[in-house]
Amino acid sequence: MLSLDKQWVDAPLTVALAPAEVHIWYSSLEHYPRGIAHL
Amino acid sequence: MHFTVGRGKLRTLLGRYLAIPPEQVQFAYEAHGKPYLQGPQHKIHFNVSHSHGVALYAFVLDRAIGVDLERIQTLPNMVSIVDRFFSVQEQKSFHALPADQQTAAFFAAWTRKEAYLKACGDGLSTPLSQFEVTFAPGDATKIITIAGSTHGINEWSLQDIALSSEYKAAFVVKGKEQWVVRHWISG
Repeated sequence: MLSLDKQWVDAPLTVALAPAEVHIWYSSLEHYPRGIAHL
Repeated sequence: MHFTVGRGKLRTLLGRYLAIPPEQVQFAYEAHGKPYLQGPQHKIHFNVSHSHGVALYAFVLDRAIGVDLERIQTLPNMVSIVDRFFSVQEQKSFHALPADQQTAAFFAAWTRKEAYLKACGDGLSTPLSQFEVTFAPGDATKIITIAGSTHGINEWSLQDIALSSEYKAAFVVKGKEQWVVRHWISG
């Protein structure tokens, strides 16, 4: 897990997009085994 | 495998917006391979980027959007990439920077340019040198010209995404609204 900037927060259970909103999601792929992740 | 894992996560996130199981999310593809949602789901536009174990997913309603993410790293051929792919003015701006600022500036430029291309859906069919972005430290983040003109630059919003000191990221979305950007961590 990166040391993320402070504006990143855990997502709520339900999410909805409003007009004039942009949602950016962060996800780490690093928990997948390296040998598999680089196939 | 990163592609497969990333696409699975994309289905999951889209399923959360659409309140449907991930397997019911239906993709179609534009001519240059950019995926979009089919049928009644089509109002949500999205784009994905991943680099070195990190993925970013961008979502917006009814607008084209592109996102790009790159880990900052030393590239032995960075200067040749700049000289080959950047506009003449961008090359001058890049070479005028102190050497210790060039790597971060390069990835700022690259992510901003890639995000614009991805928003357009053109892939790399539009040469990177045909539009210009700011990238020098302290300069406001913006598109400067498109096809040699300032005409059309106000049709797009370009913003950096502050992720961590190790990465540069940016998104471009169609329209000049006062965008409210929410940054979610996906569990």
